[in-house]
Amino acid sequence: MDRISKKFKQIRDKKKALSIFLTLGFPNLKMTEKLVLALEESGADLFEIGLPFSDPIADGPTIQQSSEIALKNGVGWKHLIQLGKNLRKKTDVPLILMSYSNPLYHKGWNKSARDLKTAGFDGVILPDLIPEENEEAKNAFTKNGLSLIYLVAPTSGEARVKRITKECSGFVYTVSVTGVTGARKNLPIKEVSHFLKKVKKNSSLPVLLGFGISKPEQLSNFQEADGFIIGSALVEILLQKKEDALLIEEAKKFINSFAKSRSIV
Amino acid sequence: MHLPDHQGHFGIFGGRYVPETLVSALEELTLAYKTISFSLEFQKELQNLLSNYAGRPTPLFFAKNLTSYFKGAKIYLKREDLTHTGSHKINNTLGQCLLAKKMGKKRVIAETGAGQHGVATATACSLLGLECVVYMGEEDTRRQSLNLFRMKLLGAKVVPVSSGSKTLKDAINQAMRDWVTNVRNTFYCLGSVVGPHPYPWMVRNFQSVIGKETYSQILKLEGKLPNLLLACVGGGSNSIGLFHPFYRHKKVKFIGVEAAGKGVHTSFHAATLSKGRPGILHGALSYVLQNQEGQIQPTHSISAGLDYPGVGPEHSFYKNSGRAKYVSIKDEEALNGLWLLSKMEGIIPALESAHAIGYLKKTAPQLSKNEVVIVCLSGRGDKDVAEVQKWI
Repeated sequence: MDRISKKFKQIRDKKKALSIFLTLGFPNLKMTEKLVLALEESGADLFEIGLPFSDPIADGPTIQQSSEIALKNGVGWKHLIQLGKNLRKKTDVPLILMSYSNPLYHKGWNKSARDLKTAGFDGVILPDLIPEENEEAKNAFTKNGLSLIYLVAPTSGEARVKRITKECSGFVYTVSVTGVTGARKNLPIKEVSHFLKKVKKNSSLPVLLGFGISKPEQLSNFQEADGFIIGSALVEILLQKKEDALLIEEAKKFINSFAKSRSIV
Repeated sequence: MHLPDHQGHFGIFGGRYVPETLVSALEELTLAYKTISFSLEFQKELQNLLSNYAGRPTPLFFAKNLTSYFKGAKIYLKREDLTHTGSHKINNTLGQCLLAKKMGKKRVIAETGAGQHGVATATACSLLGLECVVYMGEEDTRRQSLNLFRMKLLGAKVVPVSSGSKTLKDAINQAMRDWVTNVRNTFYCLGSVVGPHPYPWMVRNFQSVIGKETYSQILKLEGKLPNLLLACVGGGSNSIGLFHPFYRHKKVKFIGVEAAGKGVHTSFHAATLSKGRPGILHGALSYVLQNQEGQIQPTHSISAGLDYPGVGPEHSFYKNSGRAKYVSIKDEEALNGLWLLSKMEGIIPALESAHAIGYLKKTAPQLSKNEVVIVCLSGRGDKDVAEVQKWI
């Protein structure tokens, strides 16, 4: 069984999953590895490692900023591969690459998939890749045993949700509201719950909710979800101009507060 | 062969590489475009606007002085600079905004580089009573400040974009982010033959009025089809608009002129088709200027409208199939083109169009006197006068 499925099997019926997004090479190259290890201790179940792209059209200002800093730090494919290799000596936590299509297309889908597999990655999320255009990518990832995780959006009709969840492997990334990534103070609870129900009904895979998760109190509102994705809210903490050790402490405390609020009612 | 296919592919190029949130909106737009825009009623209404509001058909002008100067082919200019708002962009914005209105969308967003598409969108929105928001790179608001003010006069809200390279590419990013957020009530009026399906197809069709008019005009004037069509290429809308109606006439050669900036061997250029590689940017697969990591490269051109690291997928298809040839012209050569046309014919071209004029020097003298070249004069140069002054 692959690491993602294994993880969900372990925690099923016990607690909601927490998937944590980190921009590779932000705030600096050394920090990504340290953060993964530290946050796993605080209760994170999966990690989405963001390979920054120069033109992130699905991202709001926070992740745009972290991507710009990471690119200035000179981060690239080889650092991603090195990170995977380093982490695999220390942990079995599922690692998922999150990026945009072009860096992988440019390298070649097959070469990208092979590299990722060798480095110990388990899946890929590309917010600008939809099932209509996925043929080559899907073949390459499937051949290498990597999960291809798609996003479903509140604007996706039921037939489309069905189609996407069928194409998905690993889990289904459910986008809470129309818009770009970024912390939001409030999510429209009724609408999001309604949408989650629609996705759950059509999916045999775990359904994770992302976009706008910023406070532990939000979690209990969305019992339909099998887990939550935390991105921009954590990146905002890491954008503070503080020493690395202090940032890690704050990040741990932050993720821990979510870990405490994720019991299944 | 009918291109694109029903999913927007021109060979391997085009398609839809977009966040899922936009898919339903793109499907809604495709369906609306197919059903509404091809109806007789819509065609009549658009035709009326193009004639009586935008000033079409535009003349096909025989540039006698320029022809004698180069001592080669007969040179004709397709005068898109004479349309209302001063560039070919109005052909597309009247089409799209009329469609937006019929779809019941009240809010229109657009990106702009040189400001010509922004002005043309603001104009169409003002005429049709639609709310208009235009995204413009901060760098471009500086070098095209006249157009910035024009958009404001027309009642549009202009949002300066300070991310990335602060030019057209980033304005498109920001417009797409707005669209992802406000997708339910907003119509995205894209200004070029780029972006996800149906844009490259729809914008090409709205711009094809350029080539269709040229086709019948040149037959009337010369009794034959031209030997060569010449147009500048940024995203590539005026060039596709001119080229496409001649696509089946294989004897008519197409040359697209990109911006070589300070030279294609420096890193300061925007020659996407000459120096780029296939990649995925702004929702489509097409040639892209990118580095070894697949990150999009910064570009440079004296002309804001050509300062873009991507290009329309149909051009990528034309390039790979050999139907069109793509060359590039440096800032300096474009400026020379601008001066030459101003002095010889009393026409100040936009810096974008000046690239096509600049290339005449390399091609016109080599053609014989009974051959015919048509240059698309996509816009007028009023907006560039201040920028040009700085270069003198």
